[in-house]
Amino acid sequence: MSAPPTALVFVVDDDASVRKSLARLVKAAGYEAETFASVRDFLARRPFDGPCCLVLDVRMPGLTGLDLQEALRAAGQRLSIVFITGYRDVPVSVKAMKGGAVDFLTKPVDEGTLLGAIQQAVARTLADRRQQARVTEIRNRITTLTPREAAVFALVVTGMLNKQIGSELGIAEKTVKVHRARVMEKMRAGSLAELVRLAGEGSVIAAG
Amino acid sequence: MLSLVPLIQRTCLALLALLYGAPPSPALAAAHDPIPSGDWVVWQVVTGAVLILSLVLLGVGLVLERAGRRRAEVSLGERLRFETLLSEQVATFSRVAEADVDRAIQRALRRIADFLAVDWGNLTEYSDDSRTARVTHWWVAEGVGPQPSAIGFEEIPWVVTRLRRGELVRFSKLEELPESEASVDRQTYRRLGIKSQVAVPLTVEGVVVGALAFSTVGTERAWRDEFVQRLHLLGEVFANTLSRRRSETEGQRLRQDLAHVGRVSTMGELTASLAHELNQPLTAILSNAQAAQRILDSDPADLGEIREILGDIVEDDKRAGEVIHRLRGFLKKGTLELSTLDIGELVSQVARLVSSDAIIRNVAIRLELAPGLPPICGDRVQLQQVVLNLLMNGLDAMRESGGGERSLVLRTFSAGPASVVVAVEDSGVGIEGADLDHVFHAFYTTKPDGLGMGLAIARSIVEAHGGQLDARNNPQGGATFSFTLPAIEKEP
Repeated sequence: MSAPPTALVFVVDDDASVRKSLARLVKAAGYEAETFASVRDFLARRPFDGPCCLVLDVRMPGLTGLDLQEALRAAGQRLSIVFITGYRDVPVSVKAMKGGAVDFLTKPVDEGTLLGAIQQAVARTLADRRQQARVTEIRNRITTLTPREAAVFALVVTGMLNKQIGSELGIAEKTVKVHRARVMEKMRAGSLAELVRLAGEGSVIAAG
Repeated sequence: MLSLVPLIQRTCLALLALLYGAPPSPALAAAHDPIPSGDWVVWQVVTGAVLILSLVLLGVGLVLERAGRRRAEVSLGERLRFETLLSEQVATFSRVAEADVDRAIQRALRRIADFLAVDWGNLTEYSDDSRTARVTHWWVAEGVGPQPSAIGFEEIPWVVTRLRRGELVRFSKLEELPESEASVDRQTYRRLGIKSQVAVPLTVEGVVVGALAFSTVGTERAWRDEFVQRLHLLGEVFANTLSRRRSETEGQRLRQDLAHVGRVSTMGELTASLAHELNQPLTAILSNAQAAQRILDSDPADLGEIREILGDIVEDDKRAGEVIHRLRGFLKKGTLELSTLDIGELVSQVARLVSSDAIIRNVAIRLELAPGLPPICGDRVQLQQVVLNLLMNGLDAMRESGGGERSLVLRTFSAGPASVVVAVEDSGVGIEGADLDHVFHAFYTTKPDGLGMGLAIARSIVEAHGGQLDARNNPQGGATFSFTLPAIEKEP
């Protein structure tokens, strides 16, 4: 198993013996496992920051697996999901996959398929969170810019020359140069190319 | 006119008094005082003439008054009778059974036509393509020749246009129809011998679906306003009744369609819910077993954990077994709705159900039904499911067979006096030797998308009916699935 041995797998299924057996298998494969009998139970748990993923039954009494997927998305939680279901329901599986599920597996699930999906899901959770952290970091840097610097930043990344930016904002080219240097410094960008990339990652180009 | 009568009477009395010397009333004396006595003769002549004229007027007035009163009384009586007739119809149609609608309409037409003294009363229904008015119910007076069973819209364009706008049509003679606009209508009525007519539209949910018409043949006649207006009510009653029946017929057809779908899908639903119930223990068993394998591979293996796992596997297997057991029980008792069935009819119905499917798959279904088979006792829907399942299996089996004739023979025959057999013979790929032993086991399937429940359920149903389901390969290729059912023995 190349998966990080410390990853935690949450198993949410209303059937006790399915829950137990899946947790056992996951543990035997080297993961940690936590089981929940309902979506509500899972939502009551404190969000986990470490590497993890969710193995989620689709049909359950009360809130369904799709409801949980929606709730996590609404809360901005990055937690990749492997759905398991007793029904081959195409519309539901399409919905789940469109909602970002890693896989949609039909019970009974073979260990190879399940563990492969779990490994992928854990990796995706980590990647998503890294991405999320980076976006947050970039946005934090942007908030340190003064309004004038932010305006210069927005125009610089569109490829405008200092002179053009100056006439656009009605300030001297020299002043633009000063602002621009501050922007590079505050955004911790070594080059114009990097600054443009940061703007893209932070999705701020249109926001200027 | 009536107010004239007392005046004339008073004038006459006054003149009589004058003429025969009785003392004139003060009022009259004042009126006649200015007349000079020298003109006495002229006065007498004038008063005589006035008297005679007055008497005549008095007589005429009295006669007219009597006649007027009588006519009002008759009309009131007629109207009362007509209202009674209408309310009877309303009452009748509000509770008429679907099967009696036609007869009730016929009866109503006759009574109304009798009352109005017309020659022809009819109810027409407009065709969906708005081209013809088809006569659905009619009444014709004795001695009146046969009337058409349908009239094209183009034959009476003016009348139809007005009716379809929801207006009433009434004419006492053909000349009342507008000369140029209704010239075609006039021609048609002339040809049919119709002299006068009153027609009201039949409206269902705002759409004119037909008309109610009463006509005279041979004689012209006037239509009384009060009757004509009331015919609208009758039109409404008829329209409501017909639309109710139409929706009932559609409802019935829908129910039949649903029953068909139900028959096809019940088996599917059963397997779906079964699949889910079985899936949970099967999932647990698989995951537990695979977890145990992993634990065994690790060093040192946790035997306590493995023991626990094995215990759980046994429990889940029992749970799966219970599901199957419940299904068997469900099929065996309680839910069988037994009735006497003609097996030939039953299999024909199912064959019809899959006929379109067979055509799409280019398979010919041939029925070979032995005549005079004894009836059987069983649950119609469940046995239909069995036949359906065998037919669908047969069609599936031929999916993989290459060229050559694709045929499915559905056969019924007698196997001794107390049992009938239904056999489904396909020209498909047949059953491989190893599969032949397992085809009836639950979850055994050779189909990529099959659950392996169809034949297992089919066998349970047949066995619940005291019969037996068998499979064998045909010498000429393909396979035959057949089941026996005990027949109801005929009284010797």
